[in-house]
Amino acid sequence: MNTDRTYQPNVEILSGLDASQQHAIQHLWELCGQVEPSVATDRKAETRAMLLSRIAQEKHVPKVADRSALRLVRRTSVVRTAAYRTVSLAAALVIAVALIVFSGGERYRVAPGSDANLIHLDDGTSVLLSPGSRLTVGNSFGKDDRAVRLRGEAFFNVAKGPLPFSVKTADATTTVLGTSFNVRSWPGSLSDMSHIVVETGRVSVAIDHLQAIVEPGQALTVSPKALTPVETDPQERLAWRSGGFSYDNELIGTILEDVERRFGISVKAPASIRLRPVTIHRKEVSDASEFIGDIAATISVRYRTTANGLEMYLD
Amino acid sequence: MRSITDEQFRSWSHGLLRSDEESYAALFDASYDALFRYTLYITHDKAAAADILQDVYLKLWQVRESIDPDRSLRALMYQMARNYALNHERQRKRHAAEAIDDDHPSVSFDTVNDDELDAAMLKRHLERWISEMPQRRREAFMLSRFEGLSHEEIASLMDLAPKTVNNHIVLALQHIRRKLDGFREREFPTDSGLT
Repeated sequence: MNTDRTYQPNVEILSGLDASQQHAIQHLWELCGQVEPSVATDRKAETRAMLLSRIAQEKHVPKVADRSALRLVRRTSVVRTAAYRTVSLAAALVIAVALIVFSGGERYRVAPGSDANLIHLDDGTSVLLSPGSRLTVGNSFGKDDRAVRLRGEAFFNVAKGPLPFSVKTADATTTVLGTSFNVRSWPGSLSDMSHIVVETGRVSVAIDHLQAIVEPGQALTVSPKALTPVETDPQERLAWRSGGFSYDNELIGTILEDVERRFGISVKAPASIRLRPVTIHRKEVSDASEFIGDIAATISVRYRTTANGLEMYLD
Repeated sequence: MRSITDEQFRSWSHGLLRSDEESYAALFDASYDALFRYTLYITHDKAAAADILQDVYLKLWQVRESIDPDRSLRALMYQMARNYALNHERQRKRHAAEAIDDDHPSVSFDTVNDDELDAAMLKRHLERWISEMPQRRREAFMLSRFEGLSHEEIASLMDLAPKTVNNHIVLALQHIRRKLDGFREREFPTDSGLT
């Protein structure tokens, strides 16, 4: 039956057996050859046609073309809290509070579950703000300093200028003159220390009593004890910019928080799963359950959908 | 997939990195059957295996730019198929309220002298005996029997020790042997089991 595949039993199976036992196994082996599964050829042809037509379609959609149009669309969806949109009394109150606290500073926020937003600051700096993140631009921006405050994760492409550009996070200040880098700071999260990745140029990271220079291709995780840059691959590390996820030995809990913000869903998991580290790289993730499924498969746990998202669990 | 050389796989990897459709199509044609069978060893469900492979190949195209040509594309594809198939199995088990498998009603023919009928019936029984083995045992056994993978290769794919793979296969053969003996006893009382 299997003219092209006449595989023999592995010698390990046959070792230590007498001739008649070996013969019996050989017989069984051949007998089982009858039940080699056949391939569903109709589905094969169907799948082939589907895949190839999808790829062909993909080619007709310009990949990176017309980014300016894309930016425009993204930009319009940025929530400007400081803008005067008195829809309701409650909204007006929130805005009033924001105006007092940030004294007229501009606040940008990207709702969880929406696309990362590209923001253009007045000095020519562009900021790609990840879902769920908040960026506040100080009142004196462009006059006395170029200071912004970040809660969350953003990639900065800083325009060169006379004033230093600084990003304040809960535990650190990252300062540059002109460069591109990523800052991540989620206070209250599982991995809540600020994390800085530098793509080009040089960055200075400071906490109250320590300072460090981070070079291109390096990353630094803030710690109160030491600021130690380590080599990294910014392209891979910053996969979130193009809708991907990339982690090296990261706690699953941290990853799940990112997934929650990115897709605007809830992802539950017990601590026994959350505290496990995992390494996973995905260039593009369009479906939360697929990605969670990949993580679940990696560590051999189960997952299921819930009313408002997903859940990972042990048997 | 055994017959395909590593060199060939490497050239397809480079093709995928270039987003070359022809390489992708060639890889599909060359690898589909083996991956289909493999997925089937895990799921034992042809429709599901076809669905899973559709996802696997689609995913392969989506991640094409991150493929490392210096690593085995063959292993990557088996691994992807395995992950998707295991996920499918987990979901299926969760959703199925452990329905009794009615696909194989017990056969009760009065006469089994006809050789052809005998062969067809034996084949059906074999399929059933294999399907009732634990999933991992079935997977190891089928990979060894039909894909010609060495115990080492199966071990790394299934994340097991080679010794465990050997045990799985020996147990699988014992299981079939026992069933076969019982079957022959029932159907051919005069026959002396294996010849």
